[in-house]
Amino acid sequence: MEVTFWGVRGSYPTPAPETVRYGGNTSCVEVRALSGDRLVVDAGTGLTRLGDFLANSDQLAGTHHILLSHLHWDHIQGLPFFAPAYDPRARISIHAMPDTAKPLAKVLAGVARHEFFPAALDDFAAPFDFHEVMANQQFAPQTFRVMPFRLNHPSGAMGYRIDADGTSCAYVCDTAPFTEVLHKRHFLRGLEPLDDKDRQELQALRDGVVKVITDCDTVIYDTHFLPEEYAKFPHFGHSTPDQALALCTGIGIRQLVLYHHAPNHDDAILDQMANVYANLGQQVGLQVVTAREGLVLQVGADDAGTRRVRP
Amino acid sequence: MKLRFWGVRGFYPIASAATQQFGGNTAAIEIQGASGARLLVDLGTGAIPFGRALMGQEFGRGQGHLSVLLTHTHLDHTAGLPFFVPAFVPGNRIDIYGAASVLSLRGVLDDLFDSHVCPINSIENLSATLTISDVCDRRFSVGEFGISQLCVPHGHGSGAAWRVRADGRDVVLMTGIDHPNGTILQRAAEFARGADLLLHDCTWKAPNELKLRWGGSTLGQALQMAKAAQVGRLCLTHHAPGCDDASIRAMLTEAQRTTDIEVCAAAEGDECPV
Repeated sequence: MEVTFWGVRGSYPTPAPETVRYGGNTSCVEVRALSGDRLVVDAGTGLTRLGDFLANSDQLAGTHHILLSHLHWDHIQGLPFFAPAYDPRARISIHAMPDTAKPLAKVLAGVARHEFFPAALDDFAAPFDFHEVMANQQFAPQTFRVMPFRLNHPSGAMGYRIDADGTSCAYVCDTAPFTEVLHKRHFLRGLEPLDDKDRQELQALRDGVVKVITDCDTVIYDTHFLPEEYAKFPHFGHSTPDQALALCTGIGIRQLVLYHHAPNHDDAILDQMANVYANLGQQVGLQVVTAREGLVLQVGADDAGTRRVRP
Repeated sequence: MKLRFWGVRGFYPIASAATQQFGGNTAAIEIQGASGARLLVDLGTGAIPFGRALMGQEFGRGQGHLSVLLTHTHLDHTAGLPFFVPAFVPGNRIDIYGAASVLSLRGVLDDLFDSHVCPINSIENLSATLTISDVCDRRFSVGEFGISQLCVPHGHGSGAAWRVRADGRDVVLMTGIDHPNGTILQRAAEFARGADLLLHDCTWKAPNELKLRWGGSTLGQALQMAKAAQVGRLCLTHHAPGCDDASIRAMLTEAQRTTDIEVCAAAEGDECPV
């Protein structure tokens, strides 16, 4: 199994010279099995680059499975510009967590509409189908096995463990740590006091994540903040590399990928983070990699010496 | 009067090594009068760094007042709003003017903040005071700026062309306008007549995008408009995401060869005197 990073940025795209090496496009990861089957996780602006790649390599036809962690703009903005959506030989299958009130198709049609995009959901040449995924209920797109699990993020988010070729990777994004804030639906201006029930729920969320990602080869984690930034914005729903390291240590994970970089983390800051956390990871037996746009990682094999980056 | 380009890309932001000269942020253009007064046209992702730049001044103290003219509500003209830092500072005031349509502009902008797509949940959670006005074919003034607006067709709805006058000069902005096939909207040419500078969108060599009815204009239409309206200078903007720096330079060369009007291409970070 192979993972390609098409967009590694969180919140909003940063097309600037200072971020050109790690990349400025928002969340999008492609997972490929040896069979050639492909799963896409998240549809930020990085998805437009994957779409261009598929168009240029004559791979538009067929079913494209897209898992969405949640529907915040930085995870869906690329969808209306995904090249296969304009090809009648293609089909787009969207997998995402259900909304409490409306079916997923309705929620997405309310976003991909003419007020916001030149093409609305009904305009595409490719048919779309929608699948609501439930936590801890495995499903099997193509030859993959996918296990969704709940994360701690405003209005909720779903993480995914993906198994194929006898190995596995997990996508843990977007999420706050499971300590100070329990995210629900309402807007937070800062920390709110937790009651016992909230604390139990946080513990249950954490246990749920650990249970599913234990023994995963590779874990891609929301490490948006540096510790001093997190201290200012603990209610924003994102984690630090330290929190990711703590959660992933000692549960059979080989490789941790730092991902969903804050827009203010330019190439110099990310170089530094890559260095610091690779060393910290080594101390606890974890290989820590900082995601950059175009990076291709082998899952289930130590490829540190042969790793490649797409031009 | 001068313009500063914070975002000149159309459709969606593109972060790439091949677009560093013209930039990848979506539409946001600052207009500055000689006195230093300013207006912003559009709230694409280019508005995010513009908002950060404002924070060093009165906007950081909650004493800022900015007027924003929207050409339309597509995300490449509005996606910067939920990340526009001055909007989170109590005391600041932001007045947004856009084209009237069947839906209220406030309602559409509020949907940018909906809890499904944005953790802020509602435009009401912004701390600054926001006024949002839907206007159509109106003239009004904001400080020293004289402003006229023309409602024009764009995409599946309506957009606005803006004409701004200050320091005895006129700039016309048409960055969301669909002309009839092979020709131009005559009333838009009347609206732009005699302007010192015309900013016009141009999805040059992006036939797929036009075929897909993404809207927007061709290079030919931008040149035709500049000629019909007898403007002093034409500036091409709203570059298609598929156009890298080399193809925008090629477009500019072709434009300059086919007209005797002065033509330039908007590039992020550049200033353009009017």
